[in-house]
Amino acid sequence: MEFLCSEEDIVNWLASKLEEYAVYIPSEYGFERASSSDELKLNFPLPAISIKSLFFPHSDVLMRFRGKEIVEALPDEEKKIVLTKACDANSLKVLDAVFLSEPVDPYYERRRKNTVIVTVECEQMCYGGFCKDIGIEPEGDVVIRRRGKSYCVEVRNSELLPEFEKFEACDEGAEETAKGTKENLLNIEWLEDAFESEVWDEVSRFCISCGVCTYLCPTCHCFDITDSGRVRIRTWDSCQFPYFTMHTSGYNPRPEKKHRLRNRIYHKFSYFPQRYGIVACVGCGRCVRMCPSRIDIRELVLRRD
Amino acid sequence: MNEVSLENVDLILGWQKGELVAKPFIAKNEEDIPKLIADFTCSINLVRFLHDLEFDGKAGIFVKGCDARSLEMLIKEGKVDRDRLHIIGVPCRGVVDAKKAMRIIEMEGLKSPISVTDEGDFTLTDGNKTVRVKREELLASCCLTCRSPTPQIYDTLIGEPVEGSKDEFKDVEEIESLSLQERWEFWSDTLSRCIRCYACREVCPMCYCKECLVDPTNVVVTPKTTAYEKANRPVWISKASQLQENMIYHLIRAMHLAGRCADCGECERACPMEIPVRLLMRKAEKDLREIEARLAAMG
Repeated sequence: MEFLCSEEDIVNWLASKLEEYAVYIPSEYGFERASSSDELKLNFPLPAISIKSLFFPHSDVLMRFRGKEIVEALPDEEKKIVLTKACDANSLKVLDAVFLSEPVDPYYERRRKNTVIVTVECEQMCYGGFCKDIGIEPEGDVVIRRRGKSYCVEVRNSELLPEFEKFEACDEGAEETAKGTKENLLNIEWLEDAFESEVWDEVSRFCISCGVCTYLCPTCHCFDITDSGRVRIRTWDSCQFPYFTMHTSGYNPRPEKKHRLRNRIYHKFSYFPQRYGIVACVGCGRCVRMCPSRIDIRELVLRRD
Repeated sequence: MNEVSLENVDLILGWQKGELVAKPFIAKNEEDIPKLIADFTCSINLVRFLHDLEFDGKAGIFVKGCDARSLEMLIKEGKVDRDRLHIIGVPCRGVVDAKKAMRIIEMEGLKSPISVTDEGDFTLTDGNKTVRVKREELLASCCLTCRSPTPQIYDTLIGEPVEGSKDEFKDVEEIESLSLQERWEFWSDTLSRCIRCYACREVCPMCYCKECLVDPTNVVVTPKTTAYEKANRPVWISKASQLQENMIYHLIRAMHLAGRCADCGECERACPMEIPVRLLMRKAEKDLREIEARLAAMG
């Protein structure tokens, strides 16, 4: 069902949720919890750190050691409303596939389960972004699209329907034309026989093996587990780090950066789709914008003129 | 580019045109030479790539003033062989900060592809809309205080020397003037943003240690490393991105770079979280300069 709302209507709806829910809104560097209605708005930036940090934080305590006793440190089941853009909303499909399939990750599941995703559709792709080029459509419990000076609010989660029924229905004809039929520019078939290709030498030549692309990526989800004092923690890890695949024996199956960069591309566009049926990239362009060496994933996975 | 050739070198490490800012490039054949560029989009310091560049004879390398400072330091530290380099110096009027440019692009709603032109101030255009930006608003912050934009070491210099500006460490003084509490809050706020991607370390030409204190292993693991050594490897710093750990990382890095940092700005250019990493290095440099001046005055 779709409803015609003003920005004020939507902000008021979110504000009415502030007590029951933790409402998160993107800011420049990450998602921040709104403490008052003044902070709620529909025009927000794509934050440097993606939505994954809300469910799969950079550093997470798994358990604590108290003498010989081990205490599991499960996070609270916080009721969340998260305002986001289509790319980050779609990345949750990827993360859910990993963390919510058996065996379920209880840390992720607890943070994720009472979450309402409110997606605001972008009118224009971000610089370096390619979401619309690879067919990313808004996902979420509520999807908000601009319609002139108002907004068309599509309520996909039926539990939320009663809260919007007071609003006028949005005519759906205009909706269809807005979606359009943009050609999907994803071009990944060539990966099938490119494992030994020289292209990996070329594109990785100036890779500095930092973690920017993977840490900013909303779908990258590799982690490491270490003990830190009397706690066992899980922290983000990156397949671009040379030590990521280092065996205890001293053997490293991905010794060179070309192997590591290749793995990143294959994981997203070959292994993940084979296993879960979806590509593990949402075209947010964070890696394109922030790569210190200007390595551009679009050159590898998009058809270009 | 007429001034450069592959006559005496195996390859030239340079820049080629990229989207918004230049990309690193290796010219190996004559047909690569016209692809080389040297302008205000060449923000990347190429010196760092010398650490893993393979070549038999000599390599050519493009350097701006700040890049040359880092190269000079590496030569002094014995990490780079001067005799195997042909240094192509590029006097520099400052380079574009891609993050600043992207912020303007998003704010003004410009659509890719965007071209940037240097007309004293900068012009960004997507063909339909044109935005003029003041020079200092688009330049990398290290360019605003650059004392030596003209390389001090080179074999070939392309273009006329550029006069440096006077660096009075205003940015450092601004932080120094804050109260202890305010400074603590400033650094707590900025350093708690750190995601420990180590882009600042990886991009830094001076951070060439084979192993770093933050790496998961602090002893080189070989087939001969014993289980005891592995189990008892020192862990200096937790992998958790917590303020105290982030602080230790950045402070130790600053200490290790004190007196060596060329202020090429690579750390800030690479940081996705826009942490003012240079401020720490610059504080160390300012202190060193003051100590030096005091010692000199003592005779």
